[in-house]
Order: sequence, then structure tokens, then C-alpha cells
Amino acid sequence: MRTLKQKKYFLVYEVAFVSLMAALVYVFKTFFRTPIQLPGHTAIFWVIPFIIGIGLTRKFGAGTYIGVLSGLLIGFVGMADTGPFKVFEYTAMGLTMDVLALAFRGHLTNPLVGFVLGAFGSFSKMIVNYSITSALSVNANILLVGIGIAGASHLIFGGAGGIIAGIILNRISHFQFPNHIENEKSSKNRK
Amino acid sequence: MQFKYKLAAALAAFALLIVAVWAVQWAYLNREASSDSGNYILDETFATQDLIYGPQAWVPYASKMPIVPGGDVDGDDDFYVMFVDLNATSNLNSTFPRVQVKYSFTGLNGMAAFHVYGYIQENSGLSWTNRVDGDGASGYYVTSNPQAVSTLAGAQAMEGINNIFVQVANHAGAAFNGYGNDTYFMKFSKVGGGLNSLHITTDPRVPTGQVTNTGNVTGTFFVNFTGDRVQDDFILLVAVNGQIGSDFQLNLKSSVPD
Repeated sequence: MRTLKQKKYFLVYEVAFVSLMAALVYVFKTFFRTPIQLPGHTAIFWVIPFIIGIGLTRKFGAGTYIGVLSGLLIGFVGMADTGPFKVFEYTAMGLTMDVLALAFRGHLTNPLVGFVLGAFGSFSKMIVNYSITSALSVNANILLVGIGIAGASHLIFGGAGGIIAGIILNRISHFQFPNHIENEKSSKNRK
Repeated sequence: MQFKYKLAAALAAFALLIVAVWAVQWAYLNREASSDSGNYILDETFATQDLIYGPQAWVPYASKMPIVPGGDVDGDDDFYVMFVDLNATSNLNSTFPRVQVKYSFTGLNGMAAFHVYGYIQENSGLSWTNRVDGDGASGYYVTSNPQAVSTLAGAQAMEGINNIFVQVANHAGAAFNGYGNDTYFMKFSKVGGGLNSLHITTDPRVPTGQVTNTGNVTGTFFVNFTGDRVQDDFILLVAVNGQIGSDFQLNLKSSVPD
């Protein structure tokens, strides 16, 4: 039976799993290229590891952890313009998804829920990116030129990635971490 | 709250956000642009001997990029090229940050194409330019009295397509003369990169620019940047084809509108 600590805190293999998801975000963000000339369109790829990480660990904070780690990787190892500040963008994205996952607990395998998580996560990343950029260097005037297209593409492509993640999660949700299996067994025994 | 209501609320918020970002952009782009064009920072006349590069049908980039949209980079569009330092960048406090360029040709017997390159001092190179082809393309093309192509004796081929030094035609030399030889270094990292932030436009309220073809030998256009890479200087590429005689002259004036 799972102890309260096991339910509340991340176990080693859960940390290993979400770390792998963070690495996957970094790979998707850094190496995947498409011919689409729209800001934020790559969200269709990198929201997937976030949602799968949150969906399989089923613990609040998984998204934030993935965000922090992937942000550090992208900011320091990748070729990001704003360097270490990337960590704030991805942390905000992970936190947004964590909060939404809490609100939709038990329904993460629904592609529409995946859409909501992906869209709002991607959008929160864009908002933090704009805030950092305008604070660091640019008058907000210039950023507002393309905010309609950028905002819509972040929402739509993030949502599309979320739908894919929801479908994947739906197909692999039978895969469970050992502590989840133990918990289910103990629940049955109690009955 | 039931699941379906939560989902409906989230989808409604999604729709609301899309409307909101478009409303913000619409409100921004529908403001009046300042009519004060500012003082001239550059006011210089260039002649045949300033067209020191060519003949070629491409402009420097990570790979050959055509001078005209749809152009064959290895074709026989024999353009001669010069680079002009506009000594200016956008005023970020203005409603529509941009640099105004006034041009006046005499003796133009063919086409003249304008492209813009962006310089950031800490980058020590030109790593941004306007997109010539496809979605988001912009550029300014002037055609007047086209005649058969002539050859300019003094012009020479560029050393390469990318990672090359290009000489500016300004009499005062380069505004950012980091290499001490009045050149700028072309420094594009990859094909497809550096093409989204610089634009040439005839309407300040369309900052992402457009492709303009005109027969007017005098006129005005604007160069600007969008996005988060703040340019320190704009360098104009002028490519001319057709009959280039000794009477050819181009007067360029740059200013920064408020």
C-alpha cells in the first residue's frame, strides 16, 4: 500500500520519467523544424511530453518540474535568444498545465482536455516570453505588431499538440507505475 | 463543477483569448502614424562607380537568395550591387518604429531592387534581412525605361555567398566600423533563419511589409524590424540591372520618424 509520502512526493522512477520527458521537450524544441512560418507552431510537438509526464505520474508538480528542467536545458544548452530566462517561460507553461490538470483530474486521457492543457500552456509561455522580452530590451510597441497571429498560433498549435498527447495518453494509460499498481491492489483488498 | 461545464468554460476562454489577441493587434495597427519624418541622417548621392559588386542574380544570405521574387539565382539577371549604410535604426518609442528612406534615381534604365540587412553590434555581423519569396516577403523594386544589360568594368564578384565582408558605398564609411575597413560581415547561421524580423514597407501601419513594384524613379519607403532582436543599424542593398551609364545616380536620404 502506498504511504502518504509516496502519494505526495515523487519517487525516484517518477523523477527519472519526468526528467526524460523534459529532455524530450528540449529535443523537440531544438531539433524539430517545419516549413510553417508561424511563431509558436512547434508547440504541436513539445506540449506532448508535458501532458504525458503529467498524465502518467498523476502528481501535481510534474509539469512544473518538466518546465524547469527543459527550460534550463533550452536556455543553457540550446540556442535560445534570451538564454537563462527561458526557464521562466517553460516553468510557467508547466505550472499552468499542472493547475489545469488538477482541475480536470481523472480526465486527462480525453483529447479535449489535452487540447485545453496544450493551448493554455503554450499561451502562458508566450505571455511570459513577451513580458521578459519587453522588460529586457524592446518597447512593447513592436511586440504588439504580431500578437494576434502569435497568440492564435500558440493557442491552436499548442491545442493540436494537446489533442495528440490526449490520444497517446489514452492508448498508454494502462501502463502504470509500480506504486499506482500497488495502490489499486490495496484498494481492491480493502473492498 | 461538473466535467462538461469545466470543459465548456475552458473552451470559451480559449475562444475569448483568440478574440482578445486579435483585438489588441487590431487596436495597435489602427493608430495614426506620426507624420513627422525627422531630420536626415544620411543624404548622399551614389553613382556608377559605387556599384562595386556583380554581375549577379542573388543577394548574400546563408544560401543564394534571389534579388527579385521568383528569380533564378544562377540565371542571367545581371544586377550590379552596392551596400549603403543608412546610419539609422527604428525609434522604439514611436508609434510605428521605422526608418524612412527617400530615393531619387537619374539615368535608371532597368530595374533597381532594394533589400535591407540588420546589424546588431554584439553580434558583429549582418544576420537579418527581408524575405524575398513566399509568405512574409517584402521588398521594393523600381523599373524605369528597361534597356539591354551593360557591363560595368570596375565591378567584381563577391567573395562568397555568406561569411563574407561587404564594403559600404558611403563616403563616410561604415557607421559600425568594427573591422576597421568600412565593411560589414555577412553572418547568417542557417538557411531559413534571420528572415522574419526585417521588413520593407510603404505603409507604417503594415509593419510586416509588402512587395512593391513601381515605375516611380523618386519615392519613399520604410525599413523596420519586428520581434525581439533590436537592430542597431540598417544597411541597404541596392541592386541595379539594365543599361547603367555614366549618367546613373541615386540619391538616398534616411531619417527616423517620431
